[in-house]
Amino acid sequence: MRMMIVDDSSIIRNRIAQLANHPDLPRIDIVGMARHGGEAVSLFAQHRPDIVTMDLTMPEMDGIDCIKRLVLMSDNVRILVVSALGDKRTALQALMCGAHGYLHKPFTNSELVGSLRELMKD
Amino acid sequence: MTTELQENELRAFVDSVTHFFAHSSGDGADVRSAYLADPRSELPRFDYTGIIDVRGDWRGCLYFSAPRGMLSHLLLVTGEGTYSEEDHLDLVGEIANTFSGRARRELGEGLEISVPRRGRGMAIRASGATRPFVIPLTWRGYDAVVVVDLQIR
Repeated sequence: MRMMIVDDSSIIRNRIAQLANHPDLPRIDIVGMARHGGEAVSLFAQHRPDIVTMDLTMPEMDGIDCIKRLVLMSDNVRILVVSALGDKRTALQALMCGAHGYLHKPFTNSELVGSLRELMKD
Repeated sequence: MTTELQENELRAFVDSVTHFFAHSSGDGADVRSAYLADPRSELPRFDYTGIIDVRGDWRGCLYFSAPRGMLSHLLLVTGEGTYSEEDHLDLVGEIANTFSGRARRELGEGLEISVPRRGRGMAIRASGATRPFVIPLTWRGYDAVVVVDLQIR
C-alpha cells in the first residue's frame, strides 16, 4: 500500500509515518507528506497513493476541499481524516465528501493503527 | 452586542484540556479552577504560545502557553525523536488546535477556528470586550495556562 500524509504539523506527519511501520499493519510505503491541501493535490497527482491521512484545519486549502479534489482524481483512494475538529457535523461532511474514516486528535498509537487497519480492509 | 462566555461553555474548554493530557500522555493534568483575568494587564504566558483565532458565532481567541520543559517532555512522551525550536512551536500550536477543535464537540461548528499562530515570548493582551478566562494547569510538575478570550456574537 502507498500512503500520503497530509497535516500542517510536522510532529503529526512524523508520528503517522512512524506508526505506518507498525507490525500489525501490512506493508505501507509513504510516498508523500503534504503540509496543506494544495501541496497534497500536486503530490497525489505525482504519486497516486492508495491511502491518505487527512487533517482538516490547514492553511491554503483545507481538508474538506482537498478530499473533494482527491476523490475526483481517483475512484479508489481511501481517506482517513485525522482531525481535532470534534463536532459531528464536520465528521459527517467529511464522510459525505468521500472520506472513509474519521479519527479524532489527540489519538493513541493503537487508535491510529486500528483506524489504518480498518481503512485497508475496505 | 457581545455576551460573555457562560460557565457551561467554559466547561467545554476545561474538558478538552483534561481530555488532551489524559489521552495523549496517559497521565492526567491537574486542571484547576478557571479565573477571570484583568483585561487591562498583560495576560499570563510561558515560553511558547499557540493562538487560535475564532470567528463564526463567536469572536476572539484561545491560546495555550507552556514552558519549554513541558513541551520537551510531551515530545518525549509522544515518541518524537527531535527537540528543535520548530518542534516546540509546532507542538504548542497543535495543542491549542486540539483544545479548540474538541470544544466544538460541545459548542458546535459555529466555533470557527483558524490554523494556529505560534510564537516564543509573545506578550498577549485581551481583546478588551470582555474579561478572558484563565485555566491554570500543572502536568508532571510543569505549570501552563489556557486562556479563553471569547465573546458570543
